[in-house]
Amino acid sequence: MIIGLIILVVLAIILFSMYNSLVGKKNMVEQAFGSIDVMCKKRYDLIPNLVASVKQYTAHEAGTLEKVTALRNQAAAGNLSPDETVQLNNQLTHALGGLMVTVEAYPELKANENFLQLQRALNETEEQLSASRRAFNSAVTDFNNAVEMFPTNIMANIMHYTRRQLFEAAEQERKNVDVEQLFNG
Amino acid sequence: MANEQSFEQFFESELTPALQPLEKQRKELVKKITITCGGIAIVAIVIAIFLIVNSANLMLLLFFVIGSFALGAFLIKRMSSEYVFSFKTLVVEPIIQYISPDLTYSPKSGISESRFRASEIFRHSIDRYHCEDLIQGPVEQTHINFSELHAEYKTESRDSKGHRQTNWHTIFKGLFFIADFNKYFKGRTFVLPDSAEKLFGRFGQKIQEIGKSHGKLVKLEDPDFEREFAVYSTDQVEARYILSPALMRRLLKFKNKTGEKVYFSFTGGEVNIGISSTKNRFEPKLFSTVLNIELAREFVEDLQMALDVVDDLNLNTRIWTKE
Repeated sequence: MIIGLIILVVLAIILFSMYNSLVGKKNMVEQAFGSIDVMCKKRYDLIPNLVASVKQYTAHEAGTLEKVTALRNQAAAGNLSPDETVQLNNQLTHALGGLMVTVEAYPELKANENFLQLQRALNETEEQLSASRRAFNSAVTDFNNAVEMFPTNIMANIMHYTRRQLFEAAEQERKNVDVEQLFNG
Repeated sequence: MANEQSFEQFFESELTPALQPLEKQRKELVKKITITCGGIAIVAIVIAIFLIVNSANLMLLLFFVIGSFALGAFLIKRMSSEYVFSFKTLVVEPIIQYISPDLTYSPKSGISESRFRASEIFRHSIDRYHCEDLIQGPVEQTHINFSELHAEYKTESRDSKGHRQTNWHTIFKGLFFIADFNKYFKGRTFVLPDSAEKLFGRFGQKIQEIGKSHGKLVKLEDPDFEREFAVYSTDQVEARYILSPALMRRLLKFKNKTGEKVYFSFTGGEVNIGISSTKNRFEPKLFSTVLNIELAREFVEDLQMALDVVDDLNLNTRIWTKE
């Protein structure tokens, strides 16, 4: 009788702790995604200023600037699924990279104090964004391991938890930057 | 640093004149030490023979021998302290000035105990603290401080006869750096040698214990880095902001270059680096001539290794909001 009770209690403790650790891991993923979101918003806020200060000096880059602005507005509008957010931000990173290369051709702009400050701020958010993305991926990997590994996978199944998608680095970040292509693009 | 040829020139024209009186001082010191130690040795041998003839017990003899060695070592240290100081001001300081005139050198001070504590790398309470050879100044935009230091704690035990014994244990001994970091951050992040040393038992456990109080474990994606280091932080995202993939590679390379156990912490906008080492740097050799360019070159190399930290960690890259 007592042995039966002890087994029951131990079993219950194991189940509770599995449940709690799964919930904890899911919340970690969400928190990590939240910090990506914060960084994305910071970037959206910077872009209009950047575009404005580039515009003053560059007459021939209207296309690039419009592309950046359009992507920014689309991303900042909200109502996006996480996957869409990720995709738009990858495109935005690409477009901004292209813009920064174009800027090289305008020495006056490069010397502009205001522009330099914006460039620094942008570098900062890019770095922060990359850090949040890596934190997110780490949390997702933890979560996915728990969802797929025995015995937590059984509990995860009951809770309807499924694998989450990793935040892939934008394609062009993996390649070496092809400057010529950026100019043509 | 300037090239080899100009270093030789510098050694000939700047250092050698200062070294000549120093060499004289050294020779006199060696003579004094020889006489003193010779005296102690003769007296010690006479007493030892006396003890043996009178068949005193072996323990007493042993204590006596150890005692006379200790007395000799103490006297050498005492007599040479003045010489060591003038060596440091006449030789080490000009060499440092030669490498970079922006740096200042203080032979008798170092990274203070409170700053060492503030790095939070080592949490053990400190009972004895010694530091020397403080070098500080800017390397381009990055301000650095470093010195040698030795922190210890003590334990007391009683042997079978009830004698109280004090044992000193090293917490950290080596070169300690504090440098301005090139990014802003608020939390605390620690990069500590990984407990792959688990294999070595007790020592491995000690390292794990260090980790426990340092915040949450941060799992990073670079497997080579993960094999060497364990990262703890109060903020998961900030830890990754500091430890960019590039910096992880750099830290790993730095670790392999020094070949020693290295500890990093990122606190209060600064990076703290401890390179453990048993070598006592920037010290003269008593029993060989100072008029030797090789010795000077060794100082230059030690110093350059220390200053290279700024480049190794890329601290002069200031493309983020911190200028």
